[in-house]
Amino acid sequence: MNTPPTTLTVPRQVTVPTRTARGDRTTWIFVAALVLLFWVPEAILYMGWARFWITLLAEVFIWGLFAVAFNLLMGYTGMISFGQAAYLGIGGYTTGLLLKKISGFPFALGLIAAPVSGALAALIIGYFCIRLTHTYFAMLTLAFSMIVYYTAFKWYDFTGGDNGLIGIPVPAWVQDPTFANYYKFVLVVTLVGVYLLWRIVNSPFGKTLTAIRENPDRAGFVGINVKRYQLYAFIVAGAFSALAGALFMINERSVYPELAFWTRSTQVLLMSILGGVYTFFGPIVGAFMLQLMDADITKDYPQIWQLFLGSMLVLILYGLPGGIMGFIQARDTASTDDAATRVRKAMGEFSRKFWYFFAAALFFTAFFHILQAPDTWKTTVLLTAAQAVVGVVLCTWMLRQLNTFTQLWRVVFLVFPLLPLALHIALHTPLSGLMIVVLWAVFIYNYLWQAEIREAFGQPQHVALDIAPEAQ
Amino acid sequence: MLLRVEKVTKSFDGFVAVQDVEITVAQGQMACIIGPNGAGKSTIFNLITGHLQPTRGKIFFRDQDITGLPPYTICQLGMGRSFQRTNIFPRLSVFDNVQVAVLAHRKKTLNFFTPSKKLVQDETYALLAQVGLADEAQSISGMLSYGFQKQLELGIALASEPALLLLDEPTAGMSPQETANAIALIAKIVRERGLTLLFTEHDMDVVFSIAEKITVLHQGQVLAEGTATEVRGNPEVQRVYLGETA
Repeated sequence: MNTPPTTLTVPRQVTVPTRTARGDRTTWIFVAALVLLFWVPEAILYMGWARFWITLLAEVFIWGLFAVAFNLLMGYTGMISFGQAAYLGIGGYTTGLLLKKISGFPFALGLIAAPVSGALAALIIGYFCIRLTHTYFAMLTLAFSMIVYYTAFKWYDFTGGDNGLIGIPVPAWVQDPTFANYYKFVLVVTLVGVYLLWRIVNSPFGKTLTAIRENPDRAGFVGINVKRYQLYAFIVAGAFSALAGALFMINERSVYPELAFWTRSTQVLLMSILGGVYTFFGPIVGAFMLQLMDADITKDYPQIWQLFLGSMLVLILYGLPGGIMGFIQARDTASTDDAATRVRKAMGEFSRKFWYFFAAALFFTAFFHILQAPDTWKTTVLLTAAQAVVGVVLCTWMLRQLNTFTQLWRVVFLVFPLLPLALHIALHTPLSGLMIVVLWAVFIYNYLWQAEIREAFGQPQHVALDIAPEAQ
Repeated sequence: MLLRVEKVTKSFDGFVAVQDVEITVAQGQMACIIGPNGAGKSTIFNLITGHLQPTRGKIFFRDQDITGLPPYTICQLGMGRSFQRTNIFPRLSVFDNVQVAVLAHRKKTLNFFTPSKKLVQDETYALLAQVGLADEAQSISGMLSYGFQKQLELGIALASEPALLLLDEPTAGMSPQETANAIALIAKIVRERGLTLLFTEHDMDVVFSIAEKITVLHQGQVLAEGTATEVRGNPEVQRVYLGETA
């Protein structure tokens, strides 16, 4: 059954070990993230920056956990839930009610109760939802989340209704004035949650979910009970979403029905799409970007930040359909190419995307600026044009140099992202600088640090080879 | 009898796709269903594997009534199948495609925390080697050539260590050379593993070269049944089917 042999000019070992090595490294990435991020509040306080950044980061972490949990459904199992905020609400209210109504209820138990109740709720809601597919499934999840929302909204005796549940007692150590302890608490809990989810998606269970996403029919005929596994995925996602909800509650020491409102469900959907639904860390990147954009742009353009969000989304959907992480992790699957060809292809791809984002960033910056200050439109247009000319010349030159791959240029490109970032901070340029930073970061990760590329640069590989065992 | 299809009828909104079909496959046999397009071959496959429920009639596998059971249960009972349209997990690597099937067969899919990298590696590579895909293990399966995808499908089907292998047009869309190779591979695997094979086919040469028992289907009904020689000699068969292709 051998089809005409495809010539393999690249030895297979080049791709195999990188995967294995990357997977094994991930546990250490979690540990490193914990160690590094743990001291961020101190750094922020030491630098004299606003304390608001500490809470913002904590919120990003919670959103990140929520988005990863949501993506277990959307990206891994292929079920798009429009009502994931329901579990956020259920988690928040479970912990809130337990701590508030039962005096002296242990804080740790209250926190653990959130995922448990989230899982239970997901079991019940999921039992009905998985019976439908596609749009009907999505609508049903939305319907259930509305039920949860209105229950919290109207049940004054129990949930406090639209006044919310306020003054929930949390231990003193969480509520220090700088929020540093709260930040650390959130960091540890979310990292543990995300790490567990990471283990789950890489376990046989996770593989099963991916198989179901890819082809439910075929999955059924390798002996998998598809509906049941979809329900399991629903439960796991619900549990971790509820944990995120409890963390939101702890920050404000109060819960409002808004926690379960449908806009949060769409927000988490946006985060996953921005970051990349077929990647594990994509939703976290999306959460980070969305929250940061929210905070950053609201400052400059308070009324129209959602316009930014919309344009950003259009950009991402057209330019990077796999999301940001999807783009970063994309590998050329035509494995017959040799390393040099892959680099060339990657280069071409990158250049195209780069110009697309460059043009779009300029356009949107100018557009929003004119919206904000219509009387300065002439200056804005002129400035934008000047930026465009200078940018095109500079970037063309750099991209050309890039093709020579000399040592010096590699260093230049490693440092280059800092430049627009510095500009962004110094000049308060909205977004454009940020987007270019992201792109360069993408570039560096993708094209300098992957093993094939390292090889193309002539550096020897030191990854231990884990070649497929010889089969009889 | 390993598989016994008893007087099975399936109608879709009044259209009778298969009518009173009886097929038996003995342990270790290589059986084939042939028939022109629309004869109901794939419908019968789907009835056997539980993807469709018969309107009337019963299906027995190892003397157990499997009528009305869901596909995953039937698969767990020891049936493996390939589909007419290539049916793989397109965005997963070749390795993952087979591994997930092996994991499902070994009931390890409820393992939440062991990295799947540490499980059933050797078994999966052995299967890949058997279907000739060891070199492609890390390729994305959707990017493979058509022939490779068919091989992969066979690998997925074999992963559940079936007693009965059902192949729906295993050589559809292949060149004569590819077809010959594919059939040689299938026959080799079936003999090595002592499997029972039931397949549908278009290509008469293929059928007559390996099938020990042939069932001819025409407009949803069994027209003839027997060995290659018997079927070839049957005037009815010659009229409705062989005549067409000759």
